[in-house]
Parts: sequence; C-alpha cells; structure tokens
Amino acid sequence: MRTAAVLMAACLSIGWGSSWEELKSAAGPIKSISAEFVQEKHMKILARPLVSSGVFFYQAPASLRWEYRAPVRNILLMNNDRTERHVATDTGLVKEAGANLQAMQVVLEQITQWLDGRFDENPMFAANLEAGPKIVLIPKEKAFAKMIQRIELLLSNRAGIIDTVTIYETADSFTKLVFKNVVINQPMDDSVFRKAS
Amino acid sequence: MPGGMNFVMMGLTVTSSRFRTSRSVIMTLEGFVVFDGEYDQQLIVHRALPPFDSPHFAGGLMDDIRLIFLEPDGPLIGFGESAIGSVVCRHAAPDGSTVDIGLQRDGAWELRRYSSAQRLTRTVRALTGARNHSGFPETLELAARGDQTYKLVMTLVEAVQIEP
Repeated sequence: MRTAAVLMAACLSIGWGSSWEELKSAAGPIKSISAEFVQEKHMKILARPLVSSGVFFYQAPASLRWEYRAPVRNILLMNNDRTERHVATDTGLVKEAGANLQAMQVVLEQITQWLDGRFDENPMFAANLEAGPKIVLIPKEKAFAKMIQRIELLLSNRAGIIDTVTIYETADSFTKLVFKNVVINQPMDDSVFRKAS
Repeated sequence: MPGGMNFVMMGLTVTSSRFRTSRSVIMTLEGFVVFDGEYDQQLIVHRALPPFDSPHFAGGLMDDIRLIFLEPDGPLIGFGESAIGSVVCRHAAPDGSTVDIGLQRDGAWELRRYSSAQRLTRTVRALTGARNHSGFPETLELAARGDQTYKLVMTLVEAVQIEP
C-alpha cells in the first residue's frame, strides 16, 4: 500500500516535465480541452478587480472557442484560420468586424501554440522555463514591451494543462486567468468552433 | 463610428465631482487596455494604442466624459419647463457654448450642448433602469453631431462609490 502511494505521487509530480522538449511531449496526447475560466483585471485605479468568467474549448490542431459569459457575453471563434467575434446585444448575438479582431487572431494563435506545448516558438517572445513549473514570456521588441511587459503561465501538475495565465501590461495593470474544471480529450462537435449560438 | 464601424469595448471611469477630475480606461472585452487617459486641470494620456492614439481622440473622449459625469462649467443662466413636462436648466460655458439639462419625471435625463453658433453638437440621454447603481443611470447614450459624427452607448456593469 505504501509503495502504491509513493508511485502515484511520483507519477503526479512528473506533470509537464522540465525542458521544452518534455513540455511538447506532454502536450502531444492532448487532442481537446474544455474548461471554465475566471478572469480578473487588476488596475491601480480599480477599487476591486473587474471579474469576468466564461468557458473555452480547444481542439487540435488549431480550433478554439473562447466564450465570456459575464459580465458581457462575447464569443471568439477560431477555426481553419478564420477568426470571428460575436457580442451579445439587445438584438441578440452580433458578429463584429474591426481592427482589434486582427490583434485577437494573433492572441488566439498564441494560445493554441501554448496548448500544443510550443511555448518557445513565438519569435516575438523570449521564453524562460522556471520552477513551479512556470513559463515567463518576455517581449523581444521594445515597442511590443510597451504594450505587454511579460506573460506568466503557471502549469498544472497534470500534463498538458495550464492553471493560470497572468498578462502584465504595466507593473500595476495585469490580467489573471484561472482555469478550473478542465476536461481533456473528450469528443467535441465541430459546430462548437463554427457557430456562436 | 465614421465609416460605419461598430464595436463593443469595456470602459472604466473614475470621477470626482468635487475636484472635477476624471480618469478613463478603455479596454477590449478580454481586458487589454487600449486607452488610459486622465483629466486633472490638463489632459494626461497614460496609454493609447491604435486606433485610439490620436490626440484628437483623447481630448474628445475626456471632454465627453466630463460632459456626461460632471456639472457643466459656467453659471446657471435660466430654467423652465419643456412641452413634455421636463424641468430644464441652462448653463452658459466660458467657451460660449450652452448646455441644457432636462430632468424627466421618471428620473431619466437628457443633456444637449449647443455651440456658440447655437448648433447642436452633443446630446446625452440617461435611462435609470430597474436596478439601483448608487444613483447611476443604467444606460447612457451620447451622440456627437457636426464634423465628427459618432454614437456612444454605455451600459452600466457596476458603479462603486469610492471614499476620497
């Protein structure tokens, strides 16, 4: 009994691994992920954080549904290089087109890279793997660093799963995403990534 | 917006009616700050990313925020009752413009700003809604007229009173 318990603890502690190659290998078997998330926006001028919540769905190689349910319902869909945003209005969900959608496409592509274990492949960031395990991404370009100082990804002790993402815009303005109820490798209908409703 | 553009953003405004200061932040629905500006005797832009990075935009936005949330500059020069029963107060601003504020019986209010040439340049409509948000309206609609036409519809997410 004692041996079994020790072996189980050892398996759990393996998690993602401790090198870029091990991280890629750990993410390899992940074909789909669904999770709930809570997002906290922290700013010096806020009396308390602005809290949003929602769900996300990922299917390899690059399909993503990022859905905020509160305080404003807002759905980002990425499927076959097509990115759409749908926002809830008085008349129902409305598809939005605009310049900020291009920026979001870059962000969503970045997220799919993370979910695929490819943390060190974005040429815009220098990636450092730290104890935790934690990955810290620092922008290489000074101009980009004025927009985002750094991104920290805290990895779960379950291989292929990220616990929290914290995006620092300045020292006193950051966004923290905490994931929960993560389910991996469950079959997903393709319509999840194509239809906003 | 000009060109028919239409998008939804999250806004945050901290304002002091006592000190007549305000700070406004515009962020994407994902929380990424694209504009952060402050007015305290003068305009200070802390952060401005395209397409919100023109000085004209910053000045116009902070002017609109002051128009919506602060008592008009200049003295009260008249008051009366409109045809629909609203009580209307008129302020004369130092720049020659006038601002009319009409309060309706249901608590909704409307603000109209006219240029020194008596042209309507801004309207603001405030609807109280069913929920109580520390006296803040649930919906605010600002329409800009004249050279730059745009409409800003704000739906209140949360209002918090901050102790000075």
